[in-house]
Amino acid sequence: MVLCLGGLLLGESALTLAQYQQALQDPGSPPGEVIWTIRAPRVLMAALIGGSLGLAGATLQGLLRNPLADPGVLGVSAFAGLGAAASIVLGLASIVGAVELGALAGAGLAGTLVLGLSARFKEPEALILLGVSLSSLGGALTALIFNFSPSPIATAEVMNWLLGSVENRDFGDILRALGPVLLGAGLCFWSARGLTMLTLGEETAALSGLPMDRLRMAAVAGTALVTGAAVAAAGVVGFVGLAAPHLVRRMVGDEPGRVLAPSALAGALLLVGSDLLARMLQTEQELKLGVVTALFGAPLFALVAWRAARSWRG
Amino acid sequence: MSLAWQFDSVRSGPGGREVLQDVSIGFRAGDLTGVLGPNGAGKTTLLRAGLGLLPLMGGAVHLADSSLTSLSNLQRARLCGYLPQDRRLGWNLAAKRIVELGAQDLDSGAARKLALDCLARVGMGAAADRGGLDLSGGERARVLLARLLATRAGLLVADEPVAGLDPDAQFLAMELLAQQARAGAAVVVTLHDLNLAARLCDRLVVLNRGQIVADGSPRQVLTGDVLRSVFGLDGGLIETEAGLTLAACRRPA
Repeated sequence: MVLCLGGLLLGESALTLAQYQQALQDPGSPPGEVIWTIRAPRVLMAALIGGSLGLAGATLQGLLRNPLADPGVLGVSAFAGLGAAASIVLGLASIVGAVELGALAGAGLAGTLVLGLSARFKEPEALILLGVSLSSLGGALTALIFNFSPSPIATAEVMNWLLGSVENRDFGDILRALGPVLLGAGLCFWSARGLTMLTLGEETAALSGLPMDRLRMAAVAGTALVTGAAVAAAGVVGFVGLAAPHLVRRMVGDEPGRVLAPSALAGALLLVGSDLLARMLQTEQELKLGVVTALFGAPLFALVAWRAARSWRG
Repeated sequence: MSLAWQFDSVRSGPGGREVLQDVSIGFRAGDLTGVLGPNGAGKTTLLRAGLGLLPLMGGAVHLADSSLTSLSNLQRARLCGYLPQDRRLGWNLAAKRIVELGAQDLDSGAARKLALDCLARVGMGAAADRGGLDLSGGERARVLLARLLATRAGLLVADEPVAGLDPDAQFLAMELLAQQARAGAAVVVTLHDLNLAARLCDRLVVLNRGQIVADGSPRQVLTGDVLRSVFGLDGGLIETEAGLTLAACRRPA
């Protein structure tokens, strides 16, 4: 709440108390425009994207029984980025929603591939390896686009988009993202029982009576949907999906099914906070959201890896 | 009397390799059966194929008179409980929560009560709140055995349930499984400890190179011939005050 309020009240253009009052009384006034048309959708979008990434990270960590898994691990983010990059280079950026559609198409392609692979290979190691190769392929194809990009302007535009941002979003953008996010979130939450059962291993889960094949597919499809929608709406925002589940495990315990909702909440808070930080830090050019989350996420990633390495050592 | 678990001419193995070769066998309710054999004989493959965890290359398996392939996941779970050899845990769930997961059919209150009861039976009542990853290997094995008991299934299948347990816990685990058999379950375990098998199992089945080479009571099965040809041991069973004991040594090469 405090963060969301901060997101509404603070920004590059400092407002006076009288202007805040005016914004509340008259949403159509210039200060009202700043708060309700610029900042409110931005905060809501950050919360939606952060929540999506937090949920996707927790679902994937549960599914793959791997504390280092994040939404990027299945290659969906990389392909969404590829789809957006292709749309920009093809000159479609001026058409409203074209870049987002390109990103969604990329995410859909990768999601379908991963879904097919997950039906064939049930072991988490296999899915991780296939996802990582898909991710590398998406990254390589995006690099190829950079390589053959006809203009440096288009390249800069792609780069800018890939860094992730929730700047200049309106309520229409939020509504467009909401459909796939809600559908994906529903699938992730439905798979929760299966994620918990997978803690005991594939064989025990297979004989637990739960429809594990369907629950596994729901987890993969759900994470692909929310990740794809998140990347389409805000570019590639790293580390939130990795960090959010770890931040809440100390409070709610390790059980994968019970980590999902708190992790979504933590992801939303992380991104609203990061976006606020990106806006407040006085830099010549506004810091990109993906840069801020990566700057904070990378040390956290190292900490998680450190702890995991210690537990392997016994 | 109908059989709780029946294999008819089953051929199966991991990765398309035929390990089990035309195996036919049945397991009755009320028996604690030990499946013995050297490493690679096909013991785990027998259990996994019989539970639908490995595809069959031929033959059929029946659980309580129903074809395994005709059962839904839920029906299969109600008929059989399985304790796999792999005791790794993905996350640090509390011991009582691990056991509760064996009782999916109960509401949370009843499942919790049953979990605490099963943990007490395996001697882990005091560790109910400890994380599974914080336990020693032997303690974790006991908690997972408690989860198997919590399934209350008519067929209980355990792959090396006493591996890694101290001698007292080995007897405890086997006696608990024997109690389940006395209570009417069909209990099938794989074992490497021939002494425990001889003393506590009602029936022994010996597998070698994917085929059943002996089947019967411990006295009928652990003969000098079987010990020599399957296990490479010289010796036999002797009667002691504590029960049947194996007196054997490795055959000189």
